[in-house]
Amino acid sequence: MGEPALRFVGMFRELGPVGLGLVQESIFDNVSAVELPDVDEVVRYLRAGYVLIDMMDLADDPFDPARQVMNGSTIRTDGDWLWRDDLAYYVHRHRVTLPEDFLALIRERRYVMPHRDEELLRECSLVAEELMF
Amino acid sequence: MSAAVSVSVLADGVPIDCGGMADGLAGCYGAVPAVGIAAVAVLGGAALAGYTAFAVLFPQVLNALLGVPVTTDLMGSRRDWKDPSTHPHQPTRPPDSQLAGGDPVYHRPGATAIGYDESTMQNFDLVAPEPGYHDVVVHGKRNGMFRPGLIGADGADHPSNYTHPAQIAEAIRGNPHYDGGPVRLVSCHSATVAPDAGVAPPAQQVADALGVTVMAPTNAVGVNRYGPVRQVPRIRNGGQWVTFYPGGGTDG
Repeated sequence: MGEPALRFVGMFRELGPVGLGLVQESIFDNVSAVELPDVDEVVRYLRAGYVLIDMMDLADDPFDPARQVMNGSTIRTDGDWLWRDDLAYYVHRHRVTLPEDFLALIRERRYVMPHRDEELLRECSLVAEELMF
Repeated sequence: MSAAVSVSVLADGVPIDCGGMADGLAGCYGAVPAVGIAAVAVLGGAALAGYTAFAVLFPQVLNALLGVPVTTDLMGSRRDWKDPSTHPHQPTRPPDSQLAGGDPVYHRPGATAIGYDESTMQNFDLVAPEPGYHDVVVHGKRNGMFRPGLIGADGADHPSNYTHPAQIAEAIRGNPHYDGGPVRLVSCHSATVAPDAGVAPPAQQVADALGVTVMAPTNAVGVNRYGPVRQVPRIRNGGQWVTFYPGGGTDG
């Protein structure tokens, strides 16, 4: 099986550099004026993602530097998209936006994380390693 | 003048039922008190309005000075957001000990973990031992302190109490398997410190407290959940391991 075609979300430049030549946007340019109507369900989906890399990490919240976010650079996936663990926090707390096609996929799945076999997740974890280390 | 009216007026002509601000403004005490009370009321109102304007506008001025975009809110965009770390879940794995602040401590031969967030537990379980070193898994902070993790009410990892390196050293000594040898901190950023912290890096402070060499990473550190059961922890963004010696001096 070849390398999975993963897409990436939440790799904002304020949260630290990443590999794979990803172009990193500012988190401040990805804030919505209004909250998602289904924000709790979307956040639950993000938190249910399969963990690939367990990072020991403690970083300041760029919106509120007095607050620290723990293990934010831990990497999760649903097998299609790959995101940082702190994405759920920023969506929930600061109305950070998600790409429209990712949001559509989450809603299409009715917020339920699909089953993924261990072989796929192992392959995804190798991509995550390249991204983070 | 009728008897009913005469009993409601004092000898100096001030009605008996005068006393409230409304009476003063209504001229109950004559013209001078009425002007004074009105002035106090106006000044008080102005002061309250000024304070309210300051409280509302000052954070926005601060945001502008600090470069925080106006679309954000330092108190959070979500008004009903409650800090999940104030009502944490209890650790599912029973601890072997705990810090004075209540953070759980876990012992096993060759390793000590402090805190019970998911990454701490995974790194405690998955990291391959470095021969000759006792591993210590706990979150570090660039201000020279440590901060163990917990599981919040939302089920996510959150930071717990700021913890002095001396307490971490005490927790290591408390592990009956610790033989007094060198320590490796599987602890984010523990080989570095912010320039304005005014203290040595957390790893140096632990080395001084224990009187042993301490190896620590310069950045976040982690393991692959689908990697081998015993794996070498990796450091983010080209970070490296630095060895600290008691009293000062580093390699790495």
